[in-house]
Amino acid sequence: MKFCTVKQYFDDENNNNVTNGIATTVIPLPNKHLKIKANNKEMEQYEQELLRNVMPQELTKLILAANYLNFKEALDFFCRTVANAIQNKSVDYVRKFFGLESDFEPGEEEKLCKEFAWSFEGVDED
Amino acid sequence: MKFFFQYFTNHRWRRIRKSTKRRRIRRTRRRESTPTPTPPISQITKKPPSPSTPCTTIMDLPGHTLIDILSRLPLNSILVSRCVCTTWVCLISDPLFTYFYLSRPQQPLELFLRSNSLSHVTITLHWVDTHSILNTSPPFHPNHHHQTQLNTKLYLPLARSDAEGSEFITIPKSIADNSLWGSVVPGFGHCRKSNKYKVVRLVFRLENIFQRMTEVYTLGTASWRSIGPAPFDLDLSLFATYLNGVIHWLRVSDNEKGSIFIVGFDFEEERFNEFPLPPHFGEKHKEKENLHHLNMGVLGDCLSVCDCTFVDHMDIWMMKEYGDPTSWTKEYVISTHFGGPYRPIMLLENGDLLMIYGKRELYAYNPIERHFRFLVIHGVQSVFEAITHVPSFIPLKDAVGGDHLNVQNVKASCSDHGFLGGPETLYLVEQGEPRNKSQLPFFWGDGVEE
Repeated sequence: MKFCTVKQYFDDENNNNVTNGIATTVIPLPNKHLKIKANNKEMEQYEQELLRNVMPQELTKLILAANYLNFKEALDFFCRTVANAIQNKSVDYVRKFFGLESDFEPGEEEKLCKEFAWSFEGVDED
Repeated sequence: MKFFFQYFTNHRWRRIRKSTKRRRIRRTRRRESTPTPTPPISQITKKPPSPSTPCTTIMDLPGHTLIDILSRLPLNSILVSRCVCTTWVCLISDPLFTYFYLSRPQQPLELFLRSNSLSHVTITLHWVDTHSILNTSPPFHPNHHHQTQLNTKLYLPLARSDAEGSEFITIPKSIADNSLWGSVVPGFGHCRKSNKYKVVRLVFRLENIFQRMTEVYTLGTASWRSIGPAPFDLDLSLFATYLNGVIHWLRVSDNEKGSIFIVGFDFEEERFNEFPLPPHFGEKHKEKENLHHLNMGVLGDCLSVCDCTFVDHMDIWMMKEYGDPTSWTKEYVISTHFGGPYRPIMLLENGDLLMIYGKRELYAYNPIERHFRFLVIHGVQSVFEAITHVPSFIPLKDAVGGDHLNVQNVKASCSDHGFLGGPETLYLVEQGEPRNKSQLPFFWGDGVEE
């Protein structure tokens, strides 16, 4: 019963959690899954194409939608995409990607970075 | 922001009430109570959001979803993520993070090397980037050396590094320790069901020096408990191997046959059991003295034993179904021109087998193409041991629990406990062309192709 929440979504008129644009992306996914159920590669290609030009903000909305709709496979896929996007990247890249700012005390961040200085070597260039 | 803060329990709210975090919370509350046409600087994106679609950032995700994303990253990316913001530091230190991390289908196994010498124990473990070993691909011209820097990390087993430094736990001494006599056979493990860490030791006491006693210490409790007499007399703790909540040793039985079998101590049930080895295993050499031509370890989540008693090859067996002696499978037969002691350490992602030879040399064996890659480690003067490890990011106090926990800082206490720092940086160099079955492995690490 993957889509109990969807029924609720359509019933709920004042729904701020899932905008229409996001719903049109997420909801067709299980149908597509069924059509290409045996062929993982095709599904991967479809998913890659879907997310090729998606901004991080859109991705966040997709994750929220999938979470609200209780759609585990889509949630898993979107989380995996985000993780792949920030894998082996520097701290500044990750902050820029998500629009985050550092809220460390002065000196606290240097201490953390120095402790595991080796993990910062070999990261991809921004 | 609702979803995110709902995740935190009351206990987390108390933790958050520090000065830095208070500022952040006040800032968000201000946002919610006085809506402004333009969002604050920290949330500005390239396209200004329209009033009907509020700006969504990664921090709007529920905490468990953020943890799900972060737990998918490799170890070095996780450590980089800790430096992004204070909230992410909290998320990574949360037990839920470790739960997600360990439940990934590919168990994240990391490899550490530690220099050993007879006179002291070093506290420095060197993390090996096994991905860089995968990336070096044969063939190599003898003049080209691929260098990978092994990274230094002060991280002991049963310890973790955090913002304050590396930690370890000491077991309290008691008066009863004065009556110990002879050798002590230790073992350390974890009970999954009860989530407790325990140490077992097989000791002789002065009251009865002919019978080994079994004693267990649960971390966080006050003292050791005696379980009873040990059913076996283990003179040497050979290849203590932990798997599935059980610590295993290799043992030679006292009967005339002198057959070798595996003894296991189950930490959950606190009792011993035994497994036979594969049939005809090490048959030619049943004397206790030849036990060093055998070794035991864990490969790919299976108990494995390696038979190096042959002159021209070695066999690696794996127990495919844990606890079922009929599931012993001879997984690898590796040709070597001289016998052991090769010790398999771990299976790499690409199927290569990482092995130590004679505690001084590291080899990667490709079973399909049947060749070795020789990885010289520069910077280490003595023999070394290899430790495979699944990282955890929980503070020791939270992971272990209990009232009688003595967590100490490595930097402050190393001299008290007789620890010494090891070399700061090691270099891993691949030398020579890949070895096929007709070529000799090197013994002395001189890097010259024969």
